Amino acid sequence: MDRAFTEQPLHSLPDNLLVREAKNGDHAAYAELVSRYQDKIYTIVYGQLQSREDALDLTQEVFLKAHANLANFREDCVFYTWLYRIAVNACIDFRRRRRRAPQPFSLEGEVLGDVGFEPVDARVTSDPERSLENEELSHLIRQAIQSLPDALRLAVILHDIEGLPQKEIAAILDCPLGTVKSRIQRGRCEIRARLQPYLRGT
Amino acid sequence: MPGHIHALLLSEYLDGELAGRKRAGVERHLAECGFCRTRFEELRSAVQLVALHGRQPCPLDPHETAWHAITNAARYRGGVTIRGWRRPIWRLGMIGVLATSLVLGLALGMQRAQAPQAGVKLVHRDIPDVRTLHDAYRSQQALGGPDGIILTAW
Repeated sequence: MDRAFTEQPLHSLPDNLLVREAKNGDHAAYAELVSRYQDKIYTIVYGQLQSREDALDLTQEVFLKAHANLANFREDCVFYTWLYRIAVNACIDFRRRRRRAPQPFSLEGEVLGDVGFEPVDARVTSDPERSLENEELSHLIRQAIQSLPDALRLAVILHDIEGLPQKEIAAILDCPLGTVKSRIQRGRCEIRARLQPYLRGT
Repeated sequence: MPGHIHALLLSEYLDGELAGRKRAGVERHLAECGFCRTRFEELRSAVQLVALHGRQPCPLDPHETAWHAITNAARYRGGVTIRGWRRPIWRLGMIGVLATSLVLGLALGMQRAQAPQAGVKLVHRDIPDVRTLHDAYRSQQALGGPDGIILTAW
């Protein structure tokens, strides 16, 4: 179907139509898919790699791989399930490569925090105190997520952050549904335990 | 329901996956047991907070990054990312290739400088240092005879 005939803005088109357009060489359609899923893929990749720089690189690599293999995408499955699977496999490959290569020194996260660098908060807010509290809470929650073992973290991210059904997670991770359920539950329990002092006040 | 609710069951109840008697049993127990009710409330808050704050917004503009990457897909060579040449493995690889080329170039240059040049050598029977054919003929004339010029090829 030629997009010229649909006369609809790209952001209003469903994934499957955008995929079809992208397969026909419409770069703008693929760019719309990228902007739709960029944050989601980055969240998964960052959750697995825990490095901003690596996550940025790998997020792009995921979209490049997906674009290069778009012709192989079968439309009988959902685009994002396919994309998430590429992301998960890319993370596994990356960590395998990383294990072989020497670890570069990173100036991210706690190291930057220790020497006084804080991420810039560009949001406009009327209540700076509340914003600071929110920022602190977000930091704690992300730390709690990062502290989980890899398998639990990925299951929690896919289910509780990305909102994927457990069946789809099982398909993405290529493991039984029971395993996914158990990982989500254990991950949640660990996060609850870590956040318990804050949860009592909420 | 004796004792307390298993964490997996609480998690399933939170996701709305329980139905019928199981669901009713959990609800009845939560109404009676303060310990499980607190655990459930904490679990629900934790899951809500994770959903609300857990996402890592990608700090890049898609039109600046992936979009460019795709339109310039020719630059993609199985792992080289568009944003830069940051992977140490690629840097090391390229440095290795450059260094090897440099060493090979130098070695070949030296070998060529040392090796005798192939071609035709001009030799004269009576004149030790003949450089050109013109020299040879001039010397030949000076010696007064047509003989003596030998061309040796190798």
